[in-house]
Amino acid sequence: MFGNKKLMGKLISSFVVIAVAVGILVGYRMFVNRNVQEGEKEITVEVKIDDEVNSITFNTDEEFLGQALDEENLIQTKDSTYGRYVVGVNGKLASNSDESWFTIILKKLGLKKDETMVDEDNFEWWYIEVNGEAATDGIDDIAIKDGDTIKFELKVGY
Amino acid sequence: MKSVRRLVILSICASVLFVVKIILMPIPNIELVTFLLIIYTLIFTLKEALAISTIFTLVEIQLLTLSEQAYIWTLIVLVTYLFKRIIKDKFNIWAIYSGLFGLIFGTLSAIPFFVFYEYFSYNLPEGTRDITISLYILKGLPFDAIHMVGNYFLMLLLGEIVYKKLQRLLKEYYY
Repeated sequence: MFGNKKLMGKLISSFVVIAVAVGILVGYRMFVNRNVQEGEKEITVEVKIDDEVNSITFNTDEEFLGQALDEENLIQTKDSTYGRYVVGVNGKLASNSDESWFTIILKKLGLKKDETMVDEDNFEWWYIEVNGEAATDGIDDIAIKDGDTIKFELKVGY
Repeated sequence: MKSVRRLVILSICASVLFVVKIILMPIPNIELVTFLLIIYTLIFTLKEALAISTIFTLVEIQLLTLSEQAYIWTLIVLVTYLFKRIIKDKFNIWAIYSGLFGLIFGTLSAIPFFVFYEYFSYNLPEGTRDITISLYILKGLPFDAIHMVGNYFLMLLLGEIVYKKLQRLLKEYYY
């Protein structure tokens, strides 16, 4: 009887913990989706490498930037535990895009010696701006609306 | 002799923390550091548990980086010590406690981040440095939720087993 009560307590608290977590995840998703605009929209993608800017304008029915760019075949991405991130835009890959987190950790710990170790000053990465403001979300969480301008700029070093 | 043994045991405990941290790094916010620190605080004296968290924090700063989370490990030891006499060996309560630490982890990280904003924001790429504290916490919430579930179940399923096993080993080799 006592054992059953204890087990019941564990089951209830486990259920509550999972419910709270699901609530947070659903709430967060709703927050991300709040700006979603349905229907066709026209967006402009500017790709800046050094001082050269290429501009591409297209129409899409997709709701998030990641899907829209996939549809146009404009980006190459890599999966990470924190979601997808952009390594290449319009065919141009950031030079260090094949570095896995594990290699970086091993190098930091001094367990892997590599002459081509990523030098932070030469580290290439894609900076993303949405309508002139730095993006605070990953491409799959950026909701797009008609007339948006997305800028990808290849930056070198931090 | 006992002091040498103590030194070795505390160092091994700190090393175990670092190893589990590295091993679980690819899985965001599933970690055993909080779990082990709570178990260590339940088993060792406050001074010994603080020694372990301090060694771990210093190694982490040296080998990885000084992050805004560095102080949280010692905070876990201190808070656990406060609740040690109240919760005792009720591991279902420790599981909830550990889960709560997971849930507020992002908020705890945000505090030093914004107190020492100049320092920590410098680690962010140029152009992405203008973030607000609410945005920082909000963006971390899904990870905090995963952290909570991970911490909770790890403690619920492993807490009592690891606690008893470690206690037995310490009786054999230490006390």
